[in-house]
Amino acid sequence: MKVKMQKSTVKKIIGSIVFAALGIGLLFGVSYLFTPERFHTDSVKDVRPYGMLAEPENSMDAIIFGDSEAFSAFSPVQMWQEHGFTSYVCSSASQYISLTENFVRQTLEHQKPKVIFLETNAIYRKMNTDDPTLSKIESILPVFQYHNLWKNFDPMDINENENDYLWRDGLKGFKYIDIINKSRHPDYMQKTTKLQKIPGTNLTHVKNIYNLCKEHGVELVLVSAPSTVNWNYAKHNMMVKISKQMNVKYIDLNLEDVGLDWNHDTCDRGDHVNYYGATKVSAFFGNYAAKTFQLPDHRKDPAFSDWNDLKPLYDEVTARSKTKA
Amino acid sequence: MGSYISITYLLLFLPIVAIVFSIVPKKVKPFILLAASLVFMWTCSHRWMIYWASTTLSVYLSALLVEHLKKKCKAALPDAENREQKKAIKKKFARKQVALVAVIITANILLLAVLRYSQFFVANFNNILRLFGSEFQVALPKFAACIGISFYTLQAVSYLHDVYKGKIEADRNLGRLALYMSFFPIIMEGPICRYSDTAMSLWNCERIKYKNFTFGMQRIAFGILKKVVVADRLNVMVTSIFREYQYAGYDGGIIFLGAVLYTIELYMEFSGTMDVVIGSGEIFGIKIPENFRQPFFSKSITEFWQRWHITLGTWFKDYIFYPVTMSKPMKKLTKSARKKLGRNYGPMPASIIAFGLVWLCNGLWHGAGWEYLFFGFYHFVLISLGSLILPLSNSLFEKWHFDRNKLPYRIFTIIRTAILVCIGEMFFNSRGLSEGMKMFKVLVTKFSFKSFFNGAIFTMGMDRFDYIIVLVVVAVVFAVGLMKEKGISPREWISQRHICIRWAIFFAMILVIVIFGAYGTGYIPIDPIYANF
Repeated sequence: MKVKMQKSTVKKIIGSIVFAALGIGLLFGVSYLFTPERFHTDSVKDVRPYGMLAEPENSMDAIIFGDSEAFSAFSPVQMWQEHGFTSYVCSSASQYISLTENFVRQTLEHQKPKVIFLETNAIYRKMNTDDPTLSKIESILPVFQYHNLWKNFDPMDINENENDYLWRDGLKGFKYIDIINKSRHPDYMQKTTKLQKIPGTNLTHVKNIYNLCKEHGVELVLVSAPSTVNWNYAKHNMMVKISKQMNVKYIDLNLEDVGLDWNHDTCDRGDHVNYYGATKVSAFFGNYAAKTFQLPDHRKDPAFSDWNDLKPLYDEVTARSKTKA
Repeated sequence: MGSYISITYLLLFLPIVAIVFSIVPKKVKPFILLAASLVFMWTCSHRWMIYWASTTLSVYLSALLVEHLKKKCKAALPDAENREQKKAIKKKFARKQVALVAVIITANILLLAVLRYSQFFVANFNNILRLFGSEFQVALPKFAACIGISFYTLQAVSYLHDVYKGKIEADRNLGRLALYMSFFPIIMEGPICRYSDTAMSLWNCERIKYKNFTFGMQRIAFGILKKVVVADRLNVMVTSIFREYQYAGYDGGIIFLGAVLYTIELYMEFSGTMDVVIGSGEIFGIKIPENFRQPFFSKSITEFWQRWHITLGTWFKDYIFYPVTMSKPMKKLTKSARKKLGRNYGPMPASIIAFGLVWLCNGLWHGAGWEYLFFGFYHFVLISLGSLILPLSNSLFEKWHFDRNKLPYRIFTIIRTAILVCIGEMFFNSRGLSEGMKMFKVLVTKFSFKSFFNGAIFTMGMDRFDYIIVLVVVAVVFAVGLMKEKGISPREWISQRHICIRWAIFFAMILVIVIFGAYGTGYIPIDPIYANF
């Protein structure tokens, strides 16, 4: 009787182990399939950052990471047209800093930019305990990150060449918004000596990003995009402090003379800048980046001719603003 | 931990508790569950656990005192010389018990009311002041409450009431009562357990059995499927319809779609969480009462509430409806009404008063806002009308020889009930009663199917693939419900299949959750609707 029971227990234990192993194997299997290299990524919600992965190897001079503050404020195509350096805004709405770390890691596998800009709003986004764990799982099992690719599933479409991505973003991660909804608090940068605490484990992820950049020989720079809703002096002070601690540059566009008119240059009462604001921010920031980091001008380089080809699309997308302005 | 359907709970907390629970000796097991429950509460409520501790201690001590008074009364009775004296002794002790129970229950309900409803009452008080032209306004109070305060308070009240009524004995073991009041799978969203059903099985827990473990895991996976694949997917669209309907100029068809989708979202979220809760209990061999029994198979609103949030409904029935209808004034009212209205309608006035009180409490329990009170009133009216019409409809159907068991009529009543439920949920989810009324006006006066055919419904946060996924999973949930209605246990049915079929079903469920789940970048998971109660 006892032997029979032991046998049945052993059978159950082996069964459970086999079940778990098969389950994990299955997840790795679908992860192999569900990668942006194999499908049209435009079915992924908030697709812009994934377009970064489609850019030719080592083709970027600068990459900007962050949340919606980044994709609404910086226009790589405008900066190309004005200064000739290549850049991409690898950001998504409400991006957690743990996910930013994943994007930096993935990007540095294919790119070696001169400088990486980390937009600082994501540093203050409070994560619950699940967010960093999910980001970790996503980095091991990509199906958790790219699961939405099923929407464009077509067996004929499966890409055999892993380095040839099927989706590229013509705006290079920038989001065009022409809505005007004025800010109620244009005097938001009230000077203070206070420091606003960074929530939870966010600073660890910033340090991880710093270490990744250091490993790849890329300069990390912190940048704060203008926002009357999300930014204040106490956050600025904290960024100054951590930039000194890490010995990295920091530029706060909320304090620079960008020339923003908060009655006109924001789409959501100061939360984000609109296209009109982005034009001013990109003009200022492009100039700062090109000069400070001596970013090259590729406009006459035939190897970068596809960047010149972006103009018609950019003009078409932004044409609406010209009739509105 | 903000939700049971979270990585922290499912991949960290629950496995750690299960491992520790399975390696300690039997005697220690309940203490592991108690410790885990206290840790769980601490992570959610920190120092506000003091409220839970005060409620637990107050009912523990008062229940012991009630029992002490009962024993004292019993001991004093033999000394009585006649029936009159006996009656007087009984009355004296009964009074003491009633006073004690009333004080403790009132104090705990008052604590709940202050923590959850003071803002609502003060805001309305300020509105009244404004109405009379006063500029004086009372500052809105802000209180932090302990997680699950509504749930454990109702459990505490039922425990003390049952001890007073002699249905159960007062528990001398504070640990056992504390575990009943705090068991981690039920503390956040219920169900509302009864001491007589749960406390002993919690304290006398056995080792984890293979069948309990696998069944528990399957139930948890099914709950995750409902919540992550359907409820979270619907969240974006439901939010956009309910929050932007005025600006976007949606027609009545879209409002109705919003009401239906919100009802599906609510059911999938709440019943999905209940699956995780019950599955968690099952792993430890603890039977947690069901809170849902295929509510969308209901043929009337009364039946719906017997199948939806069952433990809340039975709590209201046992601790509000019956005590009120059995009270002396109500008995008197029934007696006189019977003389005037006859046997059929005689008990109705007392029932309607008791029902009114039940639905007032039900509305308030769901939230501090006029929309919730209206939600309760809406169901009160529907149920009361149903009761009033029932004798008349019975006689008419009899006269016409109409068979109400015929399938088409049953389907008609099921759809009718579902539509009424959806309209109620529309008020429930609106941003205030006036917004709910406006939405209802649009629903009635501007009803149109235009948006269904011009592609507008695919531009509100869900594309056609999302609709397909929702439809498929809802169909699976419906099929599982149908099996249960026919008395078949889906999990027993699966367990009897060949191992290849069994595993194929489980792996398919895992893959559906992973691939079709609405999580990650671009999705906003729905907050647990009942978590802050």
